[in-house]
Amino acid sequence: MPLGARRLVLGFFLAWSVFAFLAELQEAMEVYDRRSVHRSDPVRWQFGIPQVDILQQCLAEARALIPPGSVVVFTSPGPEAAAFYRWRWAAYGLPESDVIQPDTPRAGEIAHYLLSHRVPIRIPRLELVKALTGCRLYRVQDGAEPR
Amino acid sequence: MSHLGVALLMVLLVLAGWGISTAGRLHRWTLQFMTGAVIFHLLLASFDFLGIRWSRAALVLPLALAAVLGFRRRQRAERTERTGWGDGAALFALTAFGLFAPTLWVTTPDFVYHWGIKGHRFFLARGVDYEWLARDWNWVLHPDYPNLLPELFAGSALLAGRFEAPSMMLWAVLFFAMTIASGREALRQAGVHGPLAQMGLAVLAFSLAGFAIGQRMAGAADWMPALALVASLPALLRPPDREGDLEVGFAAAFAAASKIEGMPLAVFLAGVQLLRRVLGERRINPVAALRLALPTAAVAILWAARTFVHGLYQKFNTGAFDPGRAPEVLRGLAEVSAWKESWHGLTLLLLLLPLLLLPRRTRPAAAVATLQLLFYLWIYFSAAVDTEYQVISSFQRLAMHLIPAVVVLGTVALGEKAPPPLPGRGDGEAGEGAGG
Repeated sequence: MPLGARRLVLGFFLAWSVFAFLAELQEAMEVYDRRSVHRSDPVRWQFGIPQVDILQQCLAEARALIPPGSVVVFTSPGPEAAAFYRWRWAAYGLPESDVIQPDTPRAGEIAHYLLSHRVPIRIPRLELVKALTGCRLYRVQDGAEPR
Repeated sequence: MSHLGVALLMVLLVLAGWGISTAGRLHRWTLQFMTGAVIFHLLLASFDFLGIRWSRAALVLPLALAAVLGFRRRQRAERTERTGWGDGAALFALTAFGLFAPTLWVTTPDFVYHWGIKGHRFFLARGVDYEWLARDWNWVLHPDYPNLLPELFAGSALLAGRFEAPSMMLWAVLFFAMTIASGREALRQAGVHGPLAQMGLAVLAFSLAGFAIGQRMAGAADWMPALALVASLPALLRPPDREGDLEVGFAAAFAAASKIEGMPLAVFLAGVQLLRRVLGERRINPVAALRLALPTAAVAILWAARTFVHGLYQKFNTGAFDPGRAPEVLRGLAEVSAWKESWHGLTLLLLLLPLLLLPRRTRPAAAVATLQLLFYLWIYFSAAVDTEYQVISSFQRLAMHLIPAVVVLGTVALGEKAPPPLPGRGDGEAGEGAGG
């Protein structure tokens, strides 16, 4: 292939990659500028959006109150998939603890705390420790000892 | 301060791998880093095995010792090529990603779901917390994945004194920079100069930066197999030699320590280089085989021992090959071939792989990339999960492991000069048998 043709081929791919880069950069910046808009679906959550900021604030406050090694049930309203992804964000924010979902086998026996996202919980075994930013922390009465 | 922890660990790892190569400076540092990272990974695995808690001294002293031993090996650097506009373009793309990454805006969800939480937990536990990984509800963390990336997170947090997510994103920026450096060296060693080399480098950087920003790849481990493959290219593009064996051997081990997909990549890298040796020398060179296989074997044996002893292996990773999944795989591939999902169509570059098998020079590296692509397809036909969802959620990230190497190899193929006519022979005869 003549040199000119080779340059043309690579030039084509260069233009293509520059276009892809600029398109992604522009979109990322546009979405960043709109980051204060709520996103209801936790699958699409990312750092810097209001829901994550609020949850992180809740988790930071809870972290100071929960002894390391505790088992914490995290519960949140909504469909199963949404609750699942919120649970993962909660686990990320409480790295010293074992964060489990309410339907984890033997959750009632092994849990020390329950963290309820947005919704108050009324169960006799739960004692409210503190209402935190966007969530409530409960201690499980007669729960297991933290590891 | 946390950024300093990343910088400090990076420098330590580069020094720990001293003497591995005599390539151009930036690529040499990349190979040194990868070697240092493998040493670091094996060191931490030994600590866990012996029950030694990670500490600053436990981390720094052995790495410093490795550096001292490395300094004793004579290192003669080859002259690096002058910089051109392609280097500037690559730096621009890298800077764009580098500015975004620490904001966490382009952080991969997998940093939250597993890589980041593992790194933070290991930092707090001062070791890989196998008991925690093995808990029933932690299947979601991919507990059977190799741990090099969380270890880099934890190690840099340990040096800094705290775990801060923005600093952890710098690892992705460094992997990106090293991928560019190695791609640049591959072009240089392959004799691709001038505008073609500059264009190839710019394509590599812009395509990667666009994907990394658009698909949020900060904090991801997918940079690491991509880096391992690109860093192996200079060795795979030149005739096999002792130094190339070491380079490929440690790059393979780095891939194996990074992701579970890195394990087959490591086997393909070391296997292809060994095969070149065998074909060239008409015998099995046991020393070369050891250089190629030992680093990966050490990583893989430790990984297997830990994974199976602690019962971490997830059954859904494997399953029986089922050709009946073809419609689901094709539906998934059709879904990810949409404009944005397909890197704006750049994943089509993978279709160049059969062409890259044709020139003799690019054939070994193209064979590695092709085998890895076939492995991914095989997994889609066999893993015990929702096939279509698996294809949709993973293909574009898996493509990232291969596309940088394909761009570099494509540029090498385009940059190959036609062989000069042999003295005393006509032009028609000169082309015969000159397959590059």
